[in-house]
Amino acid sequence: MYLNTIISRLLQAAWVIVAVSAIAFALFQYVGDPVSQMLGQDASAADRDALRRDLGLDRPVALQFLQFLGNAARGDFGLSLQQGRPVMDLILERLPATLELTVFSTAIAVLLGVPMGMVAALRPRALVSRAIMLVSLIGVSLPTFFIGILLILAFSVILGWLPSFGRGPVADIGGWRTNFASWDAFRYMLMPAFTLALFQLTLIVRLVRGEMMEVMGQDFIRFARARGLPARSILVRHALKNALMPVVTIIGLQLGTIIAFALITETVFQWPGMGLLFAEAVAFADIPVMAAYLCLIAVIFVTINLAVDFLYILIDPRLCRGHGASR
Amino acid sequence: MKRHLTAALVAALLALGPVPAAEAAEITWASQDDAATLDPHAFNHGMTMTVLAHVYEGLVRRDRDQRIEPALAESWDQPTPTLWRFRLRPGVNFHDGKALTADDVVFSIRRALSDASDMKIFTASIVDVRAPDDLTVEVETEFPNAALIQSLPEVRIMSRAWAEAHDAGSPSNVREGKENYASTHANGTGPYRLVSREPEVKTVLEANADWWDPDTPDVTKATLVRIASGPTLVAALLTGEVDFAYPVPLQDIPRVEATDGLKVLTGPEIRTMFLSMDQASETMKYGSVTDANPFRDRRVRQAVYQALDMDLIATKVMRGSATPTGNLMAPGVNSVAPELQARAYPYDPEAASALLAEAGYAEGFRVTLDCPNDRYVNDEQVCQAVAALLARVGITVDVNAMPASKFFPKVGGRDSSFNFFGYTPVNLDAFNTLSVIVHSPKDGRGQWNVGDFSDAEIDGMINEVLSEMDAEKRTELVTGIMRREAELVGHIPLYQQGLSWGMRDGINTPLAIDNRVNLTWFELD
Repeated sequence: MYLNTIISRLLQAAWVIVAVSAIAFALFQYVGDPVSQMLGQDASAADRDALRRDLGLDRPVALQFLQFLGNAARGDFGLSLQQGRPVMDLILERLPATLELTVFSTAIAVLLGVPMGMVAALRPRALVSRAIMLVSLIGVSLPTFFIGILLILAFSVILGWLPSFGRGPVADIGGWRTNFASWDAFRYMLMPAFTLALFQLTLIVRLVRGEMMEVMGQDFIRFARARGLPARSILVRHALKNALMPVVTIIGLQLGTIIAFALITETVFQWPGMGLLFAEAVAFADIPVMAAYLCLIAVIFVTINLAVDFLYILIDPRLCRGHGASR
Repeated sequence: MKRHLTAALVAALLALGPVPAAEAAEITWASQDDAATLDPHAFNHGMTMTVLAHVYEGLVRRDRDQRIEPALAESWDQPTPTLWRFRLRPGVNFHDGKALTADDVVFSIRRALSDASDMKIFTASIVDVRAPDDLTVEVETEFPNAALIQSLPEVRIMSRAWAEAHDAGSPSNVREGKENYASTHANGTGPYRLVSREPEVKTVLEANADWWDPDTPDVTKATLVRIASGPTLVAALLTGEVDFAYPVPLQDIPRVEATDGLKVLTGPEIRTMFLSMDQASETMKYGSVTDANPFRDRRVRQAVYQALDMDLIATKVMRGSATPTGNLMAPGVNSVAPELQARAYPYDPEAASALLAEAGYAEGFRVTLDCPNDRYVNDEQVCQAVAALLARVGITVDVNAMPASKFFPKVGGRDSSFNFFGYTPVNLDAFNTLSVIVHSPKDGRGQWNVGDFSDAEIDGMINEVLSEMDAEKRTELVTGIMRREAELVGHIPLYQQGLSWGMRDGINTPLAIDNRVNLTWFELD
């Protein structure tokens, strides 16, 4: 029973990835011509045509797509047209920067967001709660690049506390370049991570607040109080535990979004991650990099969704049967 | 004990007065762009050539006033009009320690001539190159080429042994689906050695202690970082994280100048911005006139010219950073006379309206102006200003702005009625612009003459420029061509874009009109 479900979900996932890359390929026709960016303005028309032919860009889109699929299936994503290096190398080089940034920003969002949401739920009329809700409103409504620029202005230009761009002196640990090894490098991550965390943080604050308010009004909390359990234990062991279920799901699903949309934050802070790589690839019409990046993002989304699906099945076997019955 | 010693030493040094700090000679410079490759023959692109010029050298180079001076060649002569003989400087070594020989030069020029090279514009006339002995190189051209020496700074010399040992004998990389060693590594003879490089992130250069030039650079170590976002670039300059940053966005120039310890060098760039009008199509491709093409009428072109107030564009849209011009080639380009810079027809909207009425377009017409939006300073805004100015004389302009990766294939493919872009003659010689922008599109010329302006007399004169060895006569010829081009209103020159290099006060450098930073010219206080 489980096996059937797993296989059908995996097949669906594979289709999603193929569909994403097909749509991406169709769109590439509109991002511009890489050949115009690969040769200087003075290159002759014959040179351009020769390059286009050598790269196979003169062939029909469908054919280019099939070839891409065939190569990708063998793990070969080709060479970046801009840098002339294997796309996989570029992505693997940039991956640690993005992963560290997203994981750290998610940690900020959770560690700040959950307590803030609880406070806002328990003392809705207190000044601090109103402040929290105001901050969350700002977080939802201000565009990311603007927050980033404001932070740079405040903490780099005016106060001079934090560096304004890049990853700084990262340490190389077995090929993985990390910002966590020294305070000097860690400082570089603070502003980008906070910028990226802000939207997620506000989401968590609002979710935790809503869930907590609902849970606190339920009978079992009232009974717990009636039994004379300490307030702290009621709050943490009973209320929060129940309120966090949907929050955990959202955080999981958000992780994919954050990785995909680190692009803007990375551009503002010149953070050398995958998002910046993608932004550069779009400006250059670097098709192999764009294709590989979009596929990778699709894989990340699909994997997270799959994991969530499987977790649900484990938690609640009815879902599995329900799926079978609907067939 | 050791700590005490150090402390004592520091105290002693302090007592001696200001000490030049060791790190003062190290600078970090930031640019919105990065070199695309380190292969010296793969990509003729501004930032790529800027970085490469520090590592690789040509037979000749340019001085601070863009004049040609000896580099790897100590001297040269011309036994016949089509033969150039270069005497190489003895005792020059590549960064890997191997001595430079004539064979390396022959190899490099042939590599620059090969199919996959993007430097063919510089080597186009060369038919043969040979090495009679270890320190002599002979270059033979197809015809007497007055511009050859102007092109040679860009033909950079690499080591044959190094290139062949790393399978980098050809600049083709992506085409063959393999990595090219020379695109991420470098071994030249230049003033700086490549220490490390992370493409799009940072490139570290270190002064080459073995450089042949006795005028050793002040900057001993330079780290180039890429900061694509304008506000972040300015912030990094304001915080002192970088010592030098360019280009400083126009709106931030006053802010940087007002900051203690920082300055901005500004001046006209050698690139000229202009409008091209499709003069070949029988009917307008993108416009309201379906039975004719108004741009075929000289009067209409002159009307457009006279309707445009370049001073207004320069002061308002470009915030005073641009220099209005009446010529497609800026002063500083070889064989260009300075008197050509005045506009050919005065700004006069009434005269423009009269000309339009005379041509039968008293009611005006509608046309689409194609425009890049990520290539030049305020490019889209300039197009909007052109539209507003032309509206006053009844020409309705729809601005069609797009990224450069779409714009250049579109206008290069002649799929445009009216467009805006800029051109820098790559070898800073008039013949390059004449050949690429002014000559009729045929015989491999007129490639970016996207309005298909065509005049047989001008084409003939351009041919003469190519082989005219007498400097004075050549300048006269170019002046004649540009006067006639203006008479026919082949293009509408607008302005020279402005340069803006931001840096800390301790750095002194001349501003290079081709926007190429040269670290060897940096003097540090």
